[in-house]
Order: sequence, then structure tokens, then C-alpha cells
Amino acid sequence: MTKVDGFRAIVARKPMLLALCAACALMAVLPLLVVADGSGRASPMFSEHGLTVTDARGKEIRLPNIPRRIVIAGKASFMVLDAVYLFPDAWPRVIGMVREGQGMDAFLAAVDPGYASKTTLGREAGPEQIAAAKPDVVLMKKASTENLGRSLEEIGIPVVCVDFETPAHYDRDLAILGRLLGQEKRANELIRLIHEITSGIGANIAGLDEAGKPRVLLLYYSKRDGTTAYNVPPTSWMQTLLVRMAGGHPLWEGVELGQGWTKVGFEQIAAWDPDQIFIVSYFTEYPIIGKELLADERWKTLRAVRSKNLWLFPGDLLSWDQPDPRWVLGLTWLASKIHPELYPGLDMKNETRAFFKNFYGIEGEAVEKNILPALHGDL
Amino acid sequence: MDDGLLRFERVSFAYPGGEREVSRGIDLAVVPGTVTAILGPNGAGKTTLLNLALGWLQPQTGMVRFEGRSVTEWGRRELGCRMALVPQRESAAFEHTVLETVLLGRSPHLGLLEMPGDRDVEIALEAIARCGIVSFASRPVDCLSGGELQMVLLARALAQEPSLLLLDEPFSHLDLANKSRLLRVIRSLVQKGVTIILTTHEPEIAAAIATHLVLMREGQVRRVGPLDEVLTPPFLSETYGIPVEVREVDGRKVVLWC
Amino acid sequence: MSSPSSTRTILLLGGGLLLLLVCSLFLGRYPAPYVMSPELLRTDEMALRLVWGLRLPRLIAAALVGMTLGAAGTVFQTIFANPLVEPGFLGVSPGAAFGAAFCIVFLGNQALLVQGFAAFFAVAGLLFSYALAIRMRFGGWLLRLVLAGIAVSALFSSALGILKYLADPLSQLPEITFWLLGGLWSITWDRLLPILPVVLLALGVLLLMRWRLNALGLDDTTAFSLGLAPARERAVLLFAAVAATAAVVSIAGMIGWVGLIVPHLARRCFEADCRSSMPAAMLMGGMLTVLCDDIARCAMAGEIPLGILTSLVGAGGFMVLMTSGALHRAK
Repeated sequence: MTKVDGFRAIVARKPMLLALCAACALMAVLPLLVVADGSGRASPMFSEHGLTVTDARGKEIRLPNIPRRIVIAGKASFMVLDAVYLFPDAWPRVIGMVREGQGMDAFLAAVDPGYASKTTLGREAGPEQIAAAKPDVVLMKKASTENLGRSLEEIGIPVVCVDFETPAHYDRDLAILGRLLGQEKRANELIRLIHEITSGIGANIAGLDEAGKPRVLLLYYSKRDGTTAYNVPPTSWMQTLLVRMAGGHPLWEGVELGQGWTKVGFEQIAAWDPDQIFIVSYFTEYPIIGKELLADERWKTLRAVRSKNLWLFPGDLLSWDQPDPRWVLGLTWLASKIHPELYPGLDMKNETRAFFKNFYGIEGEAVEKNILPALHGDL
Repeated sequence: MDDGLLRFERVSFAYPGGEREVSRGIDLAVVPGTVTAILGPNGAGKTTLLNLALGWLQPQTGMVRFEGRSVTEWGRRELGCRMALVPQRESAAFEHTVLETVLLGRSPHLGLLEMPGDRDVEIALEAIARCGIVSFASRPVDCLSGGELQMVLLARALAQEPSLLLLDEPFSHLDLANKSRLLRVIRSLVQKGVTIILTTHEPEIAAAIATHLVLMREGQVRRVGPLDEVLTPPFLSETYGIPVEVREVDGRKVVLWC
Repeated sequence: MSSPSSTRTILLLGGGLLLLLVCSLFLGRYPAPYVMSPELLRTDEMALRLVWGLRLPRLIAAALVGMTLGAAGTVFQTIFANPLVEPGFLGVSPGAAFGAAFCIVFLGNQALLVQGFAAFFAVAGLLFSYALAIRMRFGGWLLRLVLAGIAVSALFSSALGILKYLADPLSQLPEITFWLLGGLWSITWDRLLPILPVVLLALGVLLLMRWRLNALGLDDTTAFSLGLAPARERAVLLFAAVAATAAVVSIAGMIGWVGLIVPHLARRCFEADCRSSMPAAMLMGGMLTVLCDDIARCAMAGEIPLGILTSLVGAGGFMVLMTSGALHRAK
């Protein structure tokens, strides 16, 4: 049998093989057709009054109008959601979000009567679930733009990225939101409010040299499977920045192993023997932690415990140490604990009332009934 | 060809890292149309000899020639169309049918991407018929008895249409009836002009089928020659290391030992 | 094909897969959960963009993932003459997962880069296992390969554990978790197109050499005596299988159990001969993965990780298959 005959014989005898090859070829060609089609696809018409926003990625996004239907999605989107709520005029325009725990839900339900009726997205909501809500724009953090953002843009849904991780991000991202929401005045006001507080504190500690600053340790208390662990945040995180801004010397700078909380043992804590210790907890009740730590014989030997400088980081429905607008409150509180001599007679309850009035526009009963009772930690 | 179909020329072989040479200075020539039995105790190097003949093992010194050419120089498919092996045993991981298994014997006749065609199936069926296993041609091989499986492996080798057939201990797992069947098939192959080399540790088998005999012990060929000259009490005693008698009953050689 | 009936069944399976793909185009969460009317394609521009831009590439990706894992599973099981191995064997999947995590943690979460790293380390896992097996000083070749595969997999898995510890819990850990659980929700044309040539070429090679594969499962000596060059030909098939697997894993993450269960299913429903079991495994793998992905993207308001579903269906199916005699080939 010659080679050619052999080939013919295969062809004659193998209709199935040919069918499969054809299917494969079809699959290979289809995308090309689509790509060819995609290049000629008309972009949506922009009116003369279209809106251009440069987002946190540095990407320019063009919108035909100020968005009326906003969805907030992706990883850790509660940070973005809470920041959008700093613009009370935008509340009705937020139509869908991922609802995550940590008191966020309770807080927004308390401040916004319309919150309960908004669309809930699953934690891992994909582009289709989001498209079903028919948003004009989707807001997300940078971490989600690579996957979720890209597929949304693929189907023509604009994505605006904001990050809200550090005080510097707040300046940039509030401005982005202001432009996107058509609320530039409000954005400037928020930025001014934040700067007022940070520069006030900055001026107070301006004279201190590094050696004169209290040596501070901030620990995230976590209890899993019955074992207690103490963790320090990475140098670049909000908690570390807050301690620096409040005039403390963060002892843990540079010890992080990765890009998340790093577990430290008691030996390391004892070796640091800090002047002040701040404990953060998101899931365990503070009274329990306080009792546990003060009863611990080993902890009694620490300088901070002996000098009664062990503090439980406060919060209302959400903790004040996180990259949530409440960091402003957290900063004020930290400064008053690290340098009590500079803040005689500071009343955190009044500070809280002022914060919610200025930042969220809520006051009176809404604050007294929903926010103040939730206050916890060593105010 | 005067110098034989298959020729071993001063072949020595040792496994890499092995201390002992498992084949030492082997000289051997196999004449076309004969049945050569390689006889020796366990561990004498009989299987190694077959692997050397296949070209699977390469000798450290010396050379194995097939039709005058070194077996390692033959193209894989070329040699596969001329020389076939019936392995001692084979374990099936999956439930291939007898026909599927025998069809694999057509591999050397087909290109890398070719599938067996009608002609190949015909040849495979012929091989199955010759081995007398038509009745279970569509049964999966993993539910066959040892004797039946031996026949399947023989049929697969026949589907290669070889001129030289190597059988590794083909009789060792067979009962009397199956031994007799296998002997008949081998005899019919010889009549068709196929040259046969088989290994065995049972002298009776050699006596029943072989025209030539190779006696091996400890990797060395002790005696080579026509059956009558080599199957003698002194040579067998020397090979196995125990006293052995050879008697003739009704014209057939019977080996007695105790 | 050895029998006309199995040819017919395989054509039927192929038709089934195509039908499933077409039907799945109209399943999703838009505009409302589950079924979308085809009518909408003409009236709603978003529906059209969604179907062309997201659902179609995703469905093709799902089919390719399943076909590749099914085919690669058949290759691995046949060559190693062991029904318990799968494409993740020999350090391939742990390598891919490690590569992806490495890229996410140290080089940033850029899709193409992550894909490239995953594919690179998948192949590196195989080469490492191979090299280790060659140097190993005891046991038969297959045993050495298996041992080397286990050792290399353990190495990559522990390295992955370290990376998970180092990862940013907010942005990086979820990405790594996605890799370990598998999913197709980020597939668009620009993710799918780069891997298409590799996957189609490799699948073509596997399909064309499928009869040869039967003989490569035999003992070394026997395969050699049948005129094959066992080491070389096995390396070609293994490499094709691993290349395709690495490519699909790079876009889909770890999709468990398809590569293990589907070849069994194909052998049970057809015959052990790879001439039918290979295409059958490809088509069944494609159908299984497309079905699981339909569930993953439709069932809930959020995505269910695909790898969890395939493992669930696969392991469940495996138990039923292994304990039922009814499917056993009656011939």
C-alpha cells in the first residue's frame, strides 16, 4: 500500500475523524470571525456633554452621562461602597452591591431607608449577574479589574476603579467619585474635612523627633480553632500609617512575611516590650479579650500592661482601624492615646457625632439610636 | 544465507551497574526454517538472549546480526515486520478484546498515524484462526485463562507476519492439552517456513519440537548443535548440575531425572 | 473505528456536545436567571454582546477544557497502564498552580503573565519529574516515574502553601484560591485565542495517534518488538497531553476529576480500544465540563467554582460507576 493510497483509505474509512477535525477547525475559525466582527463594532454614541473620568488605574473612561445606575462589585467592595455613601446624593443611584458582614450591612440599612431594596450580588458575582442589573457603571477595587473588570468591559459595561486603601488613595479616589457622580463640590468638601483633621494632628506632633515618640505595637487579635494568635499588619497598610500619623513609632515595620497580617509570638512581643499596645479584633468581643489579656501572667510583665497602656481599638458598627472612612475617627483616637497630653478633655462621643454629621450627613436620632449604642473599645 | 538468519558474534552483555555479565561471549547461528530451543536452568540468561536478538538490549561487545545486518541498525518498523516476540506473560490494565490485542501485531506494518484497515483485520482474524481461538475473539483478554492468553499473544506475533518468531518460555504456564495445542501450531508455522527460537527450562519440550538445541548455563552457551547431538545425558547433567538420563520411548526422547 | 455501532454512537455524542453548546448559549443570569429567549439577540444589544463576547468563548473554553482533560487522562492512563493516574499526575497540575500563585504574589495579577507562568511551570513539573525519574536509582521505569511525580507534586504543593501564607489576603489570596478551585468566569476571546493553537494541535496529535497509543501501553519489550520506539513515542504523546493540559489549566485553574473519571466512563461505555475511547473521552469530557460550567454560572447569584462542581459530579459518578455492574460491556 503506497502512502497516498493509505491516506485515501484513512479518509474513506474515518468519517468520524474528519467530523472531529472539522469541528476543531470550526472552533478555531469562529473566534477569528468574532474578532473581525468586534473590530468593526460601533462604539456607543457619546453626546457632546459626555463625561470623561480618569480612574485609579490611570485609565480614561468615557460615559455618555452621569451614571444613574451604579453597581459596586468585586473583592473587598465594602470599602468602595462605604466611600460612595459619603455622597448622600448618590445613595439612590447605587442599585446593586455585594453584601458582606462586619456590620457594614447593619450600618447602611440604618442610614439609608432604600438600602434594603437594592440588588444583592453573590460574593463571586460574574459579569452576567452584574449585567442583569443593567448598570451604567460598575465600581470596583484594583484587585478585581484584571478579571471581572476586563470581562465587563468586554461586553461594553464601563468599569471605574477606585482603591481607598490609604489616606493618599482617599484624596485621589474621592476626587474620582466626585467627578463620576457629578458631585465635585462634595468631594472637595470631604477632602478638606479629612485634611483638616490630619493636618491638625500633624501640626501637634510636628515637633517630636523619632526617638521621642512612644514605641507602639498594634496587634490584631484572632482566635481560630481555640488558639489565640496575635498579628501585625504590613508596613503599607492603613493601621501602620495611622500609628505613624498619630505620632507613634510602629515597632513592627519591616517584619512582615508577606502581604497580609503576620503572626507574631509572645516572645517577639516581649522582646519589643512596647510602651503602648493597641489590640484590634473584628470577631471576638472586647470584654472577653480584655479579661483574658489582663489575667495572663505573662502579659502582666509587659511594660505597656504595667503602665496601663493596653488599649482596645474602638469602633461603632465597623472597626475604626480599617481603610473605611472611619479611619479618620481611628486616627483622632490613636493620637489622643499616644499623646494624651496634647488632647485634654477629648470626647470621642462628640467626635463620633461630628464625624457622622460631616461625612454621612446623618445626625440626631439616627446617630443616637443606631450608631452610638454600637460604640465599643477603650473610648 | 550460509551464515544463518540470526547470528550472535562474540556477544557479551551486562546490565548497567550489574556486576555480573548475564551473557558472556555468545556465538550462535540460527538457520532458516529450523526450531531452535534455548534450554537451561532458571537464570541462565535465556530471556536476555532473546532481548539481544530483538535489539532491545545492546551488547557491550560483539554484534547480533539479522539477515546479515546488525539488529540495532534495522529500522524499528522494518525489523518489526520480520521478527516477532511472544512474551512470557502480559498483564492487561484495561479490557481490550482479543481481536483488538491481536490487531496490535499490525503496528509495524502501519505508519505512525495510520489505523488498521480491513486488510489488517483480515490478517488478524487469520492469525486468530490459526491459533484456534476464534470462539473467544471478541472476549476481553483480562478474563482469559493463562493458556488462552498465551494463544492470543502468539496470534498477535503472527499478525506481524514475521520470518523469525521468538517465544519466551511459551509452555511454562500451560497444562498438557494446551501444550499439545501450542506444539501443533508451532509445527504448522515451521511448515510455512517460519524460523522459530524458543526458550524453555524443560528438556521434554525441546525434545518434542526442536531441531536444534542451545544449552545455556550462567550466561554462557555450553553446547550448540542439532537436537540428537546435544540432547545427551552428559550435556544435560552438565547444564542442570544433576544426573539426567535420556531414554527413547516409541521413537520419542524422554528425559528422566530425579 | 472497529465497529460501526461505536462510530454511530460517537457521532451522536459529538452532535450532543454541539447541541449542548448551542443550548448553553441561552442559559445564564441575564436578563433573568436561567433561560434567555433567543429573540432577545435581535432586540437587546447587551444580550448579543454578552452571548458573543462572554458566553461563546466561555463555552468553547469549557468544551476544550473537558476535551483536553478527557484526552490527556486517556493518554496518561493508557501509557502508565494504570487506571488511577490523571493529567495532574507527574507534577503537572501542582506545577501550574504554583506558577500561577508565584506570578500573582511576586509579579502581579496580569492575566497573560499568570497564564504563561502556569503553563511554564506545568511543563517544568513534567520535565522535573522525568529528569528525577531518570536519575532515580531503583525500581522499574513506571514506578520511578510515579515516585518522582509524587515527590515533585509534594514539592510544588508545599511551595504553594508558602506562597499562600505570603499572599495579600484581600487581593492575592482569593486569586490563588480561584486557581485551586478552578473556574471559567473570566474567559473572553483574548484569553481563549492564545491557547487555542496549542490545544487544537495537541488534541489533533492525540486523536491521530490514538490507535498507536494502545500499543504504547504494553510492556517496553513487547512494544519494542512490535516495531515501536516506546520511549520516544510515549514522550511525544505525553508532551502533547501535558502541553494541552497546561494550556487549559492556565485559563481555567485546577479542574478536578474530569481527567480521571471521563476515561473510565469512555472505556465502560465503548471499549478499551483508544480508537473509540479517545474520541469518546474527549466528547464526554467536553459535555461534563460544559454541563458543570452551566451550573456554575447559572445556579446562584454568585459563581460556583467550576473545579468544585466537576469534583463533586466526578467523584459521585466514580462511586456509582465503580460499584455498578450494569454498565459493564456485554459482548
